[in-house]
Amino acid sequence: MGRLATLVVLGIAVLLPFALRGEYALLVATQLLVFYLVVLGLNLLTGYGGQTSIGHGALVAVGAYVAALGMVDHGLSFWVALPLAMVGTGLAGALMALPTFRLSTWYFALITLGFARVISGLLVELEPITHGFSGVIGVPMPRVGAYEFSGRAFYWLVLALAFAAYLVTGNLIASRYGRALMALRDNPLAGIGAGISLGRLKIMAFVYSAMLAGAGGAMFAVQKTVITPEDFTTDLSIFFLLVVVLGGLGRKHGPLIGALAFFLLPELLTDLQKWRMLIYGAGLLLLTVYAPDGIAGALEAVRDRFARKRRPAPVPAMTTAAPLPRLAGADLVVEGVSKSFGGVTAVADLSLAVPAGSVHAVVGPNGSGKTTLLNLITGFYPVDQGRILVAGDNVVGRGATAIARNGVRRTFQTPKLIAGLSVIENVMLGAYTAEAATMAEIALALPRARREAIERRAEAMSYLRFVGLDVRADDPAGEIPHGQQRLIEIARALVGRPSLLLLDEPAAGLSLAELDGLCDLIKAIAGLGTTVVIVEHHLDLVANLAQSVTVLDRGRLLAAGTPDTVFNHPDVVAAYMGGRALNGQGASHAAA
Amino acid sequence: MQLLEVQGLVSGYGKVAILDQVSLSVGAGELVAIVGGNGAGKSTLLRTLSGLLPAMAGTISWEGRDVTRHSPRAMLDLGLLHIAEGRRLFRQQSVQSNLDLAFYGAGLPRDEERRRLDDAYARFPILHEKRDDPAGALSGGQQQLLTVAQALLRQPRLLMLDEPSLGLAPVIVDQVLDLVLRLRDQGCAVILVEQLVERAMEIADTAYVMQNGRVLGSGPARDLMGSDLLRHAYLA
Amino acid sequence: MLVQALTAGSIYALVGISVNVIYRPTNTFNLAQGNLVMLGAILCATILGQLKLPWYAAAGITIVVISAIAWVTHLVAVAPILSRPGGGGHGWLVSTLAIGILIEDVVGKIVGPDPQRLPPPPPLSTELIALGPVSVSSYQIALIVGVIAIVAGLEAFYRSRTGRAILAIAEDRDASLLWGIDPTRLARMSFILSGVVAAMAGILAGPVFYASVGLGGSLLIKGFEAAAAGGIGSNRGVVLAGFFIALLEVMAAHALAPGYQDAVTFVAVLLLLLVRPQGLMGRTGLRTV
Repeated sequence: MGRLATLVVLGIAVLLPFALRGEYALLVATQLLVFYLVVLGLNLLTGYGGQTSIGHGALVAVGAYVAALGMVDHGLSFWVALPLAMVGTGLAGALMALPTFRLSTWYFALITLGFARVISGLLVELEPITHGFSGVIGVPMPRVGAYEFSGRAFYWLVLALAFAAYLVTGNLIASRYGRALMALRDNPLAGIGAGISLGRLKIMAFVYSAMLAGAGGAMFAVQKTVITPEDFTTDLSIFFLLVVVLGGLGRKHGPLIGALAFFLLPELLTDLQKWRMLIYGAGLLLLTVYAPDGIAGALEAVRDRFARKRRPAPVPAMTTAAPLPRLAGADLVVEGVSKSFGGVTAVADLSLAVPAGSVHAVVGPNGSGKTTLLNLITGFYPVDQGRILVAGDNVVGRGATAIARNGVRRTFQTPKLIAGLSVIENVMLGAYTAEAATMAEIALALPRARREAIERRAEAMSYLRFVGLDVRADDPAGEIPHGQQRLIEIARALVGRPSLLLLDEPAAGLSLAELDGLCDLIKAIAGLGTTVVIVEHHLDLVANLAQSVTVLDRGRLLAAGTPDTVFNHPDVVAAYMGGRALNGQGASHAAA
Repeated sequence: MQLLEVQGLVSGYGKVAILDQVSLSVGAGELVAIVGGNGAGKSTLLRTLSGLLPAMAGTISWEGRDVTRHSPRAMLDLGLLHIAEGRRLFRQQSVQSNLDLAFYGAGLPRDEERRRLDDAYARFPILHEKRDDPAGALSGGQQQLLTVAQALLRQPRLLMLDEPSLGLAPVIVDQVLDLVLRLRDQGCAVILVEQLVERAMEIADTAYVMQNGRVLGSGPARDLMGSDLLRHAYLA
Repeated sequence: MLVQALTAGSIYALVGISVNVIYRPTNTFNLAQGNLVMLGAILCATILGQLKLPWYAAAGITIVVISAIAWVTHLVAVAPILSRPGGGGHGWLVSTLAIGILIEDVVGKIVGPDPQRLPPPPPLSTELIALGPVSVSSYQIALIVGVIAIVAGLEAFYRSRTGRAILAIAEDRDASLLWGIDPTRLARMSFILSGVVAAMAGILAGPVFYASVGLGGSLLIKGFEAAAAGGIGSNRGVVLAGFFIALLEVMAAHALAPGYQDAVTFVAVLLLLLVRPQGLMGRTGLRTV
């Protein structure tokens, strides 16, 4: 939806009060906006980030109570109570999110449910503070001097806040945060490999959505003037979830469409008020099973069907293709590393050394421990014994995210791309840790953030050009054929300016023509200065590229040296081909 | 009539086709070796035959009947047992439990199951010794013996073994291949996917050489041993 | 006080057990579980109260009805999502939640919010007998023994071939398929089994908790807490955790106020999970890349 459409919708929203007859209609419209605010935040957390929250109603309660108590019991003005509510709810959200560091997504959804119940209970229990069942009465309207924001003025106030939230949320989603959230949702390993701290990301998403819920709560309290614990049962949390799912999880306009659809219907069906939970339940069930992308998703699918023919506008050509920056190469030393899974030894007492800036290959038959070694170096598996030194620094025990942050990047055996993002957005994911603009700068679209976004995109583009995929920059990553997916992963790894790059079977599944391209690409990557370690089967490729080779056999070092030395070594040939060498060199080379 | 007949098989993952018009046939009691480098599609072929992967095009026939759309359960009932690569055992369960699960759905009378199990324990004393240990605690070689023992218990008519030599010492590989031969001698047909080309060729009746999802060539294993075709498929 | 805790704990343990039963083959969790228990309690109470059938007949009917609903839940809310390519993500969280909402609303409309009395199975009674320093009823003893018996029964089941096949599915789906194990069929069976356990929990919970619509939400959380704290997948852990949670509740009610029970147990379970994510008796998993 372009700028024009946004302005049109905003214009309609601004003019709406004039078209409505009667106070009740205005009340409903205001309430719609309040709920829209909350759903906006929930969509970021659950839709984009994949963290299902069944506790947002409780967060609204926290916001409402903080604002109401602040204004009624402590005489604060609305303009103080509102930010206070947001901060208070943000803290509650942070508390709710702490367990996510160690627990997985579905556990977590139940924890939000538990939290919500606890908060509901505390609203009643902490009577001295919250007034228990009687609730908080007489919440005043916001005022500036003598002027009171009631009726239409209040509506416009809420509209302004909702619109601001829409813009800020949009900015965050379009930035590295949005990309990281989608990685969290769809392919967490890709995020870890790019050095993104998923735990921190989850907390950030939670706090942000909690703050919006808090703002919504404050508005809710003002609008209702009386709030009691009854207003904030689990039903409310479920209602918000329904609106998000109805509109479309993870869709930019899902919240608005969902809120509209939701509010318009019951207004036509006021008689069915008492059936509402039944309708919510049936609606959630049908949507989740049959239409998981909601209304927005369905609309997008229709639009895509018709927009197929239009090619995206070509990216403006760079006046000079700036050369890619030199990368520092780190040397890698593996010392006596061992790893077992249960009773099976995957890697035993392995040592190898890779000089900085060189290309090294790790080869060996299936099951020899090559990929395990790669996972040990990059921290995806914990090491049982031994040391791994990257540029002299022992990284054992650090964890994959920290190791990736420190300049060790990798590709995966099966490429891990985020299908919902475009090719270039996937590449930009690799620059997450390098981006300097703060969250606030991005949220407010300040010049530095905007500048950086352009620079990062250009940077990603240059790496895409480097791997030969710049023409597909704006295509959805889900539509890219397998062989090219790997190239995108390589570009993503390079954007992180690695000092050590590990490629996991990059040649698997490539055609002969694609293999040549890959060989040239890896040579060019080495030319940039980074140290490259390839785990590979294709001995031809290895012979052409690698300056040194390590051969593994059943988890142990079989041979090491230059490709020539190693590939003529009888033990290596025997291990690879089994039995005699293929060129018929007789029994003397049979395996021991 | 052949036991298993495959014509023009195409299959893969999602929209990506890995196998490209693969045809092969296996007769009763025949040992067929399928060799080729990585990414040749050997595992994909086995997975399609056993029904784990749906075929996109082509036909699979069992004793003349079309079984292209069969589920893994249906194929197992017909007598096709697929031991997937990587020694797919239930590692958290005991050796005894793994052996017992080999009888799942086979509908054998209790005493027949008992007899076969005693037989297997006699043949593999190490498994008897470790019968209460979790399968994950066994060494690689012992795990491979366990999978072969499972196959012996089920007594399939066609056994498909995917890279049984993976990560195993040559001595153990000898043992395993020996057992495979024993099975074949009992009338069980075998499809053996192996990266130890020479060993596979030594015991096979027929061989198929694959590369990039296609069959480059096939014929009596004896004839294909040491051929250029083989070398090309492996080292290119 | 201890007996009170053991009684409530038994019910929590039963709910947690029904959670584990579903989790094993599917790695999912039925958010309608609490409401299934509640429905079991209310249905049984209604049949006894309105239709005046003998207790065991009412219990039997209840078990059949709840199991059927559990089966429908799998059919409609879980199977379609799990069979999506890629496993369907976490959509089952919302779909089973939806089923729970539907059950709660329909039941609420039919019977209203008032709690109903649900007597224990004859010949047991809730009359207290003095046994040394403690007073306990025959019902309570039978309940505690019953839970232990159910755990033992389930352990025996999971030692059988079918039971081990269910465990195998979660461990290696492909290998299970190749051995002729049908994950969907066994998942369905597990849902039905969990329905049986949930129904029993509801029927037996009556004397302790009173059959009311609000029971569902509370038991869902308690059951989840027991399962998570015990270690998802470990029935012995669940029983242990169930008792501890109930004990904590009783102590919190005495020390603070009844209204703080939920908060205290929730925080305690959360802290336990933060320190020991695999629960008391669970197993740590291995991440695969």
